[in-house]
Amino acid sequence: MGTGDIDTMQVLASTRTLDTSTTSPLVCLLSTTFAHQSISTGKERDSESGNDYFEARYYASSMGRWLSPDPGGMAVVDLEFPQTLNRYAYVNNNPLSFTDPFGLDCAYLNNAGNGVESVDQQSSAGECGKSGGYWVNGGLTNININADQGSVQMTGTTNGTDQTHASYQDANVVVSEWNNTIANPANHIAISLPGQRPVGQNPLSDSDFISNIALNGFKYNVVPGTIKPQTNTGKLLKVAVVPVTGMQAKMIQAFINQSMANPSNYSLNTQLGLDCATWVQQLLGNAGVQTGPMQPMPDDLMNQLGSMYKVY
Amino acid sequence: MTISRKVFFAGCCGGVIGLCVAIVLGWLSSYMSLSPMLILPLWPTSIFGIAFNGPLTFSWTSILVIVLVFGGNALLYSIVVALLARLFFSFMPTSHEE
Repeated sequence: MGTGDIDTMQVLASTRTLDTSTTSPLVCLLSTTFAHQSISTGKERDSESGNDYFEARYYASSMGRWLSPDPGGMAVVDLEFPQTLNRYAYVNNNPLSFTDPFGLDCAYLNNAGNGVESVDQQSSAGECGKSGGYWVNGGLTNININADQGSVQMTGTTNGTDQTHASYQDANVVVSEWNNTIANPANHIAISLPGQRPVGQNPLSDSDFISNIALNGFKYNVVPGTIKPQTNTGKLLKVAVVPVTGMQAKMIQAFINQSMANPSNYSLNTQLGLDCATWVQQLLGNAGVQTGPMQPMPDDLMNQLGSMYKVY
Repeated sequence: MTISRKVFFAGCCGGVIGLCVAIVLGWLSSYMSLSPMLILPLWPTSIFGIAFNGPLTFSWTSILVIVLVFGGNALLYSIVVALLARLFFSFMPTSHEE
């Protein structure tokens, strides 16, 4: 089954919840082709395809796997549990021990950050993190919050007995401006999580970029990009400290890892690729961290961050 | 001194000014972050070094960056100043010595 089929299934899933009095003839026609029946997970099964409808995605019981990857993206990957790298796996490929009745679960803390305000059972991990929530696999059964230390430990269950765990630690993400050489007065932007070396978006080959920009100009330059760690020889000019939730920190780390494995093209034109500042803004934006309008020049970005966060 | 010599001399002065502007801005940028609104008009060829984030080493890429970023600005300033000088002298009345 191709990706197009999965997308169609998801579109159909969203139409099925509509009130039939307001649905279009096409939707009504499609809905008549679905005869639902209950299965052991308590989810509806499409009689035609044999797939089970969970709130977030479809599960192919015949194959024992999800039809689409976990919508939480790489943020749901926990390196302590390598099975989570397989975003198509159902209950971490252990169906005899687990079921996942909710598919996904998200807890939102109150404004004081010392108690749970609400639990969203219809959320995805990506949406959860972007909204400042905390995600656990399965239904949330217990949560320990240490507001002073900014830590959250969650326990969930996917079958009522076995437990899943998630641990989050609020962090300060550091966006830094560097001068690496006098030949680049516009400077460089890098990002780092606590205890890590700053990394930033660069062209894969400097000489390629130079010849590309000479040939194509400021507007149409684009070359393969790469994520490089900041060198020790550069001079640190400014630092912006951006506080994020533990969930957002994990998402940012996952996006950095994803960019390292599969870097975007480098371009000064954001329509064609990402420069160092735009990459950092996109990375933070993907985790739901506000950075304001896109600023391709490092100095402009740091000034903008200065109006929102502490800049030293 | 003929007009063409004067224009050539003005161009040379422009080149020196362009090189100095690039060196001063490059030096300043290593101590403070400079606004792109200042850098790009005064040092347009710095765009060639905008993605260069490694240290300057004795490599072909470093040499290329230096030649384009600093030499390019010197050349640009010399052309602009020479053109302005040519324009200025063409509108000036002929001097008494000539």
